[in-house]
Amino acid sequence: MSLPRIVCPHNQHLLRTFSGQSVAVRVDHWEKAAEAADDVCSSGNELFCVIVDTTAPLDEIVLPDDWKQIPLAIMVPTIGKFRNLTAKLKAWRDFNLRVFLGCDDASNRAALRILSSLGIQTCAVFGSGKDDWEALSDLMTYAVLGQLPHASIDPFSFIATNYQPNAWVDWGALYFDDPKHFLHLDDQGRVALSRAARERGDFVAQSLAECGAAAELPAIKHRKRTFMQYFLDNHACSFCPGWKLCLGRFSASVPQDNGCSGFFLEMIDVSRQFKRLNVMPQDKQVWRP
Amino acid sequence: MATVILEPTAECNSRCVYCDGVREGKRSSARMPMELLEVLFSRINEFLLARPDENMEVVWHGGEPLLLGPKYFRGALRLQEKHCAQTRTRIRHCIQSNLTLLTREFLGPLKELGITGFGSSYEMVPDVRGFGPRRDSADYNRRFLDAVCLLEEEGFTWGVIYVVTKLSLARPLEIFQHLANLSKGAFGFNPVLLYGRDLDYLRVTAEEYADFLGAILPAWWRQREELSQVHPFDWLVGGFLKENTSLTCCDSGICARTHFSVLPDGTISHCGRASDWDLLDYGSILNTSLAEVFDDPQRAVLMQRNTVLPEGECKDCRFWEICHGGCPLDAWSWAGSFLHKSEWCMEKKLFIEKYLEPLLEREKKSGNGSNGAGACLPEKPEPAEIRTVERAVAGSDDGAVTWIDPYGGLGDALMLSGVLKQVNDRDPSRKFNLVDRTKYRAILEGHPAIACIGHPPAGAKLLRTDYWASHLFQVEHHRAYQVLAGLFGLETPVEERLYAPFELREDSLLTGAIPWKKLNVLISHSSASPRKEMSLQIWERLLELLDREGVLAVQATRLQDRYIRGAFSLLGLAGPRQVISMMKRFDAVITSDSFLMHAAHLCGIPALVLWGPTDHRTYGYPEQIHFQAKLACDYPAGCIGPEHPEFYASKCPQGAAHCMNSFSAETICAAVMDLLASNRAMRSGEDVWLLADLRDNAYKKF
Amino acid sequence: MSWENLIYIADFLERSGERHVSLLGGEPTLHPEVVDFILYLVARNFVVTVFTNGILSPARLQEFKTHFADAEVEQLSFVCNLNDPVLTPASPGETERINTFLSILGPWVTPGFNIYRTDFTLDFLFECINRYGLRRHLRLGITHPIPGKGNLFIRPLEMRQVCRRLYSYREKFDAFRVKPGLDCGFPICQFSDEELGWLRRLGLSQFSCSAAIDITPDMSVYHCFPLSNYRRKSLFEFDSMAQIHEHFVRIKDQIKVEIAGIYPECDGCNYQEDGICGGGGLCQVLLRFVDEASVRLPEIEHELAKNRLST
Repeated sequence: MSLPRIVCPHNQHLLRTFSGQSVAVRVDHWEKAAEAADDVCSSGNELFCVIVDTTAPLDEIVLPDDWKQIPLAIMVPTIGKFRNLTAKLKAWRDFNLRVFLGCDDASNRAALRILSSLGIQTCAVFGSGKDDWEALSDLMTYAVLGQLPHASIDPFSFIATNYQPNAWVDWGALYFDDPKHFLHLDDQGRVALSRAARERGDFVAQSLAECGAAAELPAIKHRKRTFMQYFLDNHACSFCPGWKLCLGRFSASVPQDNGCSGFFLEMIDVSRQFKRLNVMPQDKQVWRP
Repeated sequence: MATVILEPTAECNSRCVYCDGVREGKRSSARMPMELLEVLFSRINEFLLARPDENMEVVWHGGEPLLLGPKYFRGALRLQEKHCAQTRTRIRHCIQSNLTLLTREFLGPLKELGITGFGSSYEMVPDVRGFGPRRDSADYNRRFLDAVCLLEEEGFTWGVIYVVTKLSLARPLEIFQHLANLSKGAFGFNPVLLYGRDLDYLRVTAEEYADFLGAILPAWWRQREELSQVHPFDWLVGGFLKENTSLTCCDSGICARTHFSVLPDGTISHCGRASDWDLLDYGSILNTSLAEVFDDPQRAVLMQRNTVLPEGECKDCRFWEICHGGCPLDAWSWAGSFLHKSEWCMEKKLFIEKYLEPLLEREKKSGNGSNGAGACLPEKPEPAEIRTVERAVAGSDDGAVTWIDPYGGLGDALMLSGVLKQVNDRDPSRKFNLVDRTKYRAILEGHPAIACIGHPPAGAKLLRTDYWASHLFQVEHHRAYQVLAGLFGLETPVEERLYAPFELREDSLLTGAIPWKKLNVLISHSSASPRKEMSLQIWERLLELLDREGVLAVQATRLQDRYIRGAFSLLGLAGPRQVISMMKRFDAVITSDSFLMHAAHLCGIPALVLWGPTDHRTYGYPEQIHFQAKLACDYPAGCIGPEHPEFYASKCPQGAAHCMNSFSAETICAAVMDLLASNRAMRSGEDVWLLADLRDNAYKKF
Repeated sequence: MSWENLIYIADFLERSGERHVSLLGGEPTLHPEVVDFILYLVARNFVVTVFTNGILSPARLQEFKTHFADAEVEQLSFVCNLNDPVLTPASPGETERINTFLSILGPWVTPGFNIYRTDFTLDFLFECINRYGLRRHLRLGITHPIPGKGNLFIRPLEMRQVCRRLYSYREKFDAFRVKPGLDCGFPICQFSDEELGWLRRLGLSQFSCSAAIDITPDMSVYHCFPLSNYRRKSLFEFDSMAQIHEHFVRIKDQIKVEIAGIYPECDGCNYQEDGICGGGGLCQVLLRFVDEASVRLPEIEHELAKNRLST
């Protein structure tokens, strides 16, 4: 069966219940990353990446040299102290990794710029409802139109690169949140359409075997059409000029917080400028959903 | 391209509130049988075979064409293949549908017919379009959006026309954005067309529709590259700007030559509305060929519009080319005749005059008004308060010393020196201070009329020497020296004497280095204004000629001046004092309007002066030879002066055709040789004056 | 200064092809993130110079020791401006901190000294250099007038004395192999031929006054510290350092059109024309326009009035 990629916990038994799939395996400590990668490969599946979802700051993470080929998605709450990182960052530029950082506070937004300017690919996590949209705009402008080439800061770099004037850009896959590309398993192998759905216990199948062709899965079909409800309901998001980049992702906070609208409108403008400037893509490509 | 609006069924599953068919109960359940469809295809084939350059567009319309079911379209495909084997590549199909009945089964045959996109309509205002007596718009829109998803999954394109009603008028921008988001740029607007006296709650006037479009225009304009196909902006704006000549059938004025419609029973009419109103019946597909349809004499009336209207109602209308009096059916509806313009032409006129033209004007102004030089220019300062005394009066009122604020070049400084000397000669007690400014000390330090050089305190009495700003200078050929003298209270005219307040001390190291010949000239190519400079090529040719005559040319101006090959260079080695001090060693001076001209006058050395943008009558001295170039540019009175201060530092845009390049080296050389001869004669006591006014590159002695 | 602005500046400099950056102040070591800023700039391959008075808190000093001294960071240096312990003594606590700083970071430190009086002494500096292993280069600055501030400065007529006094230390400079580095504003004509010959042997040949572009925490740029209030612009108005330099060169030229230098002889001086000498500090020239009648170029007048600069 052809399924999207599978995001699953590091569970050897679970991994052996399916094969031939592309797997993003989750660990909660970076020390387990290599072992998890090995387990995926030895289970007859293909390793897409290892998601290190840790509460430790980035400066505590140690990545041995022989891990360079392991695609890593490192999700941390902060980067810790920059001075503890400098020696590592030079080596990490050669790793196949992307650092995920929340954007709720100014220090993390600064950290994204720091890492990006030092050649580390990053992904900004926002949409908690406490977003500083103006500050995000600044970060986005830096990410897309910075004076010098630097490592990408997603989703901004992704959006700008994939921007087409009359097309929607769905960037949920960057966060493994797009059922067209990722299904999420819990420890028991139950299938959810996103991490949040998995954490809520909102499962669409009890196992992968039930899924069949993913395109036909009713829940997946329904998810594909979730945007329809915005237009059917004449939701404020359907009238927003930023829709084609946002797709209602931040609708929960509308209308109390309309900052998302201004942000995505600016993102459209910046993306247009980016296209006009014909900025060349990065030479170094790390894994991408 | 010929266009057939094919209505294989008048039936529709929707009950759009403004639909004529719905309102007037004209939606019968009749469907075009396959046999009739077959006749149509054979007619089309016959038509295209007779016209090898023609193409045919088949617009599947209704009612709702998808009510026919996928089998019907498979049948249509078979018929086309059977009857149009040779011409099918010239037949283009498109379809207008509400999409609510679309399933995957339709897509195969439609794709094979060559249909890759669907035209449709959409309405977000509830209860305008919908199913059943209660017009369920929620269900309608859900099915519509389902169909859109299917189309996109299968690689079809789609676009919508939004019908603007009175219910839309309050929210133009929202509607525009909603449609842009949903349809990704493939949408357009039409006004609702209502021909009865009811439904006033939906009806819009031409003015209201124009205002609706006008409210959207700025938002569309900002994104016009991305939303280039949003109707009517694309063709209205494009047509007005002459960037896009593709007009709709309503506005092209040529629908008489291109369109016909076929109803389910085979009746041929002009278009959907024509058939609804029983107008323009061209016969039946069963017994009428398409050639006969296009030759039908009824079409002539429609064609007459293109001659009648420009002479009548549309006379002198500047929008004729993008309107052509509008849809003839609208005209008939409004005025009962095809030979009138449509009421909707007012919409275009209003839109363009009230919204589009002002926007274009604003765009033009904002494009011209920006500071293209960027942010590094100094801010334009507020004019400083200057307390200036224009004319120094003898016996000043309060006894305070006047500070001279010097302007101009070294030549102006020499003139100032001369004027001050005359002032001082008349009244030795009269003293001035001099504002310290780069380059003036060299000429004025030690002047008997100047008490000190320094920085005037705030509130000091100031006297600027920019004589060219004086109104007296505007008088033609008023001598600069005289105006300057007037500023210092001298009764003009005065003798134009210059004065050097320093001891003339030759630098023997410099003069000792010069390989003097029997005849030696001091030359100056450069000036503070590049417009006063003759080209290097002419100078070098001149020096070549002088060299053949045994004359040495020495250049002794600024370090950064261009060196002229053939000259002995002392560039940057001699300051103004040294130049004046050594001038007596030379037999003549050849120069443009510059410091050297004044220095030659000061030292009594003959000079030949080359003039172009400035006038020898203003600055030149009478004993000198003046070559004044004829000015053939936009500034016959000269381009340098208080009227054009911005030109002083810039090069002449004429380039090689610059007036200063109208001189010939041979003529100048001849004049110089005469000058040198006369100089020898003068020194020997003969009284010979030369004044030349250059004509035809030959000078004359007067 | 924020991280965002620092990164912007680093990008700006890198794009302009500049590889040197100096951190100044006030006192830059007081910035809470100065250690990380320095490490960041070094990671970006900049050569970093930190200008400091050496009075660091114990905690800050320990950070410097850990991350710079112990790590032996090569791209980093310090210029520590030291005051005469007799004429301008620091408090005992401050002196101790300075000495500790020098003892830890000596090999990275170039001593600096600002000359603001003609009877200055340099002996203590040679002692510092030898005692703490400082770099054998002495950065000498002339204090310049800051228009509008009324600070102590060396006047043009005092320059000759300063040059003579400096030369009187030649023996020590030579004996301790310390090279004097002259900051801007020393006019060449105030050195005798012998003095110039000595300096030339040490590789000094420029006496110019050029823009030492400073960027403030609020992203303003100005010509140099004494002219910090004169025609500041925002960094965001420029695309490169070359543009900034061009802008301030134009400003300098405007001033030079009015007055060539600090001496009357500067007008027409060949050394100035050839770019060897700057005719003294631009700030000295500008100072003369303050409180003057309105006779200068409107751009100059406007700026002076705008900032209400006065003596």
